[in-house]
Amino acid sequence: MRNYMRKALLVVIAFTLILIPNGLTIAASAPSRGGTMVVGISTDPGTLNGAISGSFFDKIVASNVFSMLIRLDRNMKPVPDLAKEWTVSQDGLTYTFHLVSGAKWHDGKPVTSEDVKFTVEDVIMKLHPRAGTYSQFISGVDTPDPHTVVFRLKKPFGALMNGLGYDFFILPKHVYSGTDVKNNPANVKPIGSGPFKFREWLRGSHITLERNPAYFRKDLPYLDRLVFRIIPDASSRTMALEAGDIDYLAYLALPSSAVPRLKAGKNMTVTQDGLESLASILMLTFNLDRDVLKDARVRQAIAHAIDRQYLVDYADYGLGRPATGPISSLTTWAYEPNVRKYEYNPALAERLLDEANYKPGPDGVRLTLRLIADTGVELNRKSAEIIKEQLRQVGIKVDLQLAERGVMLDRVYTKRDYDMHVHGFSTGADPAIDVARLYVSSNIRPVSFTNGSGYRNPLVDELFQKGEASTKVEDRARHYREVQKILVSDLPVIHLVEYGTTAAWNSHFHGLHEWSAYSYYIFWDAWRD
Amino acid sequence: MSKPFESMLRYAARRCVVALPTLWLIVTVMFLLVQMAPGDPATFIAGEGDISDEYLAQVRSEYGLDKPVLVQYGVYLSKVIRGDLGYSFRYRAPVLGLIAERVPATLLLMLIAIGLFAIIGVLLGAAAARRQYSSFDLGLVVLSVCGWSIPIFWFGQMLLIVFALTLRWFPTQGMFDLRSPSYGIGRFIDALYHAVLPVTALGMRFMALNARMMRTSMIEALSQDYITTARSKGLTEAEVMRYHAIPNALLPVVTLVGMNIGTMLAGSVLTEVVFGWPGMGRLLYDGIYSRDYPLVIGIILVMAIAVVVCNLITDIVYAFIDPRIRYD
Repeated sequence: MRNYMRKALLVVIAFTLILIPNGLTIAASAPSRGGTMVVGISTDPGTLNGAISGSFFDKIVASNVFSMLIRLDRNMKPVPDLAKEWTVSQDGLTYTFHLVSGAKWHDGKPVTSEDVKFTVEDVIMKLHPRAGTYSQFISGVDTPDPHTVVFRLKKPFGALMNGLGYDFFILPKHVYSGTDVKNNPANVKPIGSGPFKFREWLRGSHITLERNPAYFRKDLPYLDRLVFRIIPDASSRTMALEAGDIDYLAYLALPSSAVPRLKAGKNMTVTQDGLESLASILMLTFNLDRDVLKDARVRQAIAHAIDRQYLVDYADYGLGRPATGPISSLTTWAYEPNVRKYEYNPALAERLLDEANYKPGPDGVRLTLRLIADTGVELNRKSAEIIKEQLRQVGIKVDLQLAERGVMLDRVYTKRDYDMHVHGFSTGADPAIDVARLYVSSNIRPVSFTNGSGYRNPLVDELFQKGEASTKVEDRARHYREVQKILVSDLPVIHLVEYGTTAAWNSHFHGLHEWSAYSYYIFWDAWRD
Repeated sequence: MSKPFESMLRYAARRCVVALPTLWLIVTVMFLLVQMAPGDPATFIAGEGDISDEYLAQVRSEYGLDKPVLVQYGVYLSKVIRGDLGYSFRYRAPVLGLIAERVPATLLLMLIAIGLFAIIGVLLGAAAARRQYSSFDLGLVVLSVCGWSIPIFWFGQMLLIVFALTLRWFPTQGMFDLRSPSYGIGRFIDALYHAVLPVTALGMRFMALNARMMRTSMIEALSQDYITTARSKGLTEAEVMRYHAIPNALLPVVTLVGMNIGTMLAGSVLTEVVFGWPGMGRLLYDGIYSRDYPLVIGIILVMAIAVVVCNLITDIVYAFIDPRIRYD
């Protein structure tokens, strides 16, 4: 009897030994095929045609249906997508791309260089919100053969590759040619060449994509189905993730207030990696049209009166870090750490205000300034409230105006009727695309997210122009490093916090946020265990 | 055609004609309000980023936003009269189609909430009135005060935390299971299952209101002479309730149900946002956020028509249950 038991025990042990390592290897490596991933988003896209839209909400879906020529890795270096290799001429005026063979549109037609030419010349250079920028530099596209694309530039354009990996979703010429591109029915039932095929869009509810079995990258994607579920309320969205109704939330769809709780939860992977393209900075913009704010000492006093670490801890839930300048430290190739520092020092702030002749009145108030922020964004609202309190301590009374987004944009950019403005800006795509716009004098105009402070400095204009027009990354970086030093000492804007942009997903999913700076909309190598 | 029916039709027709100026006023006021709201729709249509002036000009002319306000108003009004609610900026699609797409979801939510919870409310109210000042009655009074006062969005969140997140009885979001989609009758059942929590959140207020109203009105009815007469005739208590007390007590409740359709529509906006329900309220919420003028005015107009129609139906139903009402 005892012998029998011992045998049984041995069998059990043997089985366990065989099974455990196997189980481990399965979980750790080989991606498995199949399954559905549900991504939570906050609002319906306006269009699924990525080539006519600059909006993140639209790109999240479009990026999985359409291919680009290249994609960008976490250091913003180009990696192949439709283009398997490319060369740049010495003078930086000719870019030649060789397309992969075997890429097909979802309706079965082959992808050729003609599609790329059509997309660039007839769609992006005419209808994209950044068409103005792109057509300043691109003169045209040549197609020597069906698998070769040549971009001809009017002048060198350092941001071209970053633009190609950001805005240039390639459309099928045979679907769009000769039609009204903006109102083509394919904009709501897209035909792409990407990893997932469009299945259905029930507005307000969901968008379903299905695996493209003919995708040119063999064996990809791993998932059978990719669903985007539209959930407008932020806390409902987080609850849906915790309850397992959805699997993935990132960036604007994931409220920072929920991140500490999600990190503590079981079966949840939380990361800030793979979001480098969204490197974002919370900024306090001064309206330099106001006489009081023309005085650099007042601006410096305000910079010294604000405790940035406090903002990180209490407005951003400890996710980000204090900012040093206009380019985020996540944009590694262009970031300059050695700039003028404005440490938290209320006594110094008061001294500067004394020098500027703003002495405290009988009520302790030296001067009153208005501060406007978008009340719909928690980070902006909380930061504005904290800044109000910190400025009060040095005798600046803040008239806090928490306004709905449309009202805020109207007052700050259209009417320029404001003193100070707190807002988070995304700066990560390329300094030429989304940093320069905030500081160059040619961009002082009544349009949202332009040079709202009304700052003019010919040297800054010149440096941004040079950074844009250089082709070599090292040259570009040199100009941008210099411009950072100038902007921080001139202080048209206080760069407060590099706030955390986060993604969270159910730990049963793998292959996410591994290689791309745009990981929050790249799902073809995601898989479920 | 019988005479009372004919006079009722005439009454309905007259009411419809009277409703027209109301609707015109709604369109005009909405148009002005939306125009006055700060914020430029062109910047919403264009999205964020480094947008060129040419692109903005192109967007403005595409949607007629570069024309004077009065011209925009004239164009819009003439279209509305022809049944064209215009073109949504944000979705690049006709407003009427967008609304039609969303009506079934909202209707499902509202019909269940009104039907089920109005009946439950009435029954609870009637039961409480018969046991005035009992603990059941007091409990109901407390419940209905709470039910009426708790904001829908908060109550909805609580339902989510308890029944979806903790107990996992119901899904947190949406109208359908998207992981394993079902079709045909299965899809409808799936929608009903997803509707349980939102309907409860929306219906609770309504139930509370009806219970309170029914209780008060029933207490009053029970003190009337005809109830004493009915009892003295030797009718059973159930017969007294069924033929004398309840029909009389119901009259003010019916008015209340009709009058509260508007409140319910407002409540459905909040419910749909909290539960990610793809109805008309959500469309309105998105429209306001993106300054989508045609969409916002279109939805408000459809809602206004719904309220007018519901009031009309209430009046007609009233005639059926109250023989004293005559239309002439």
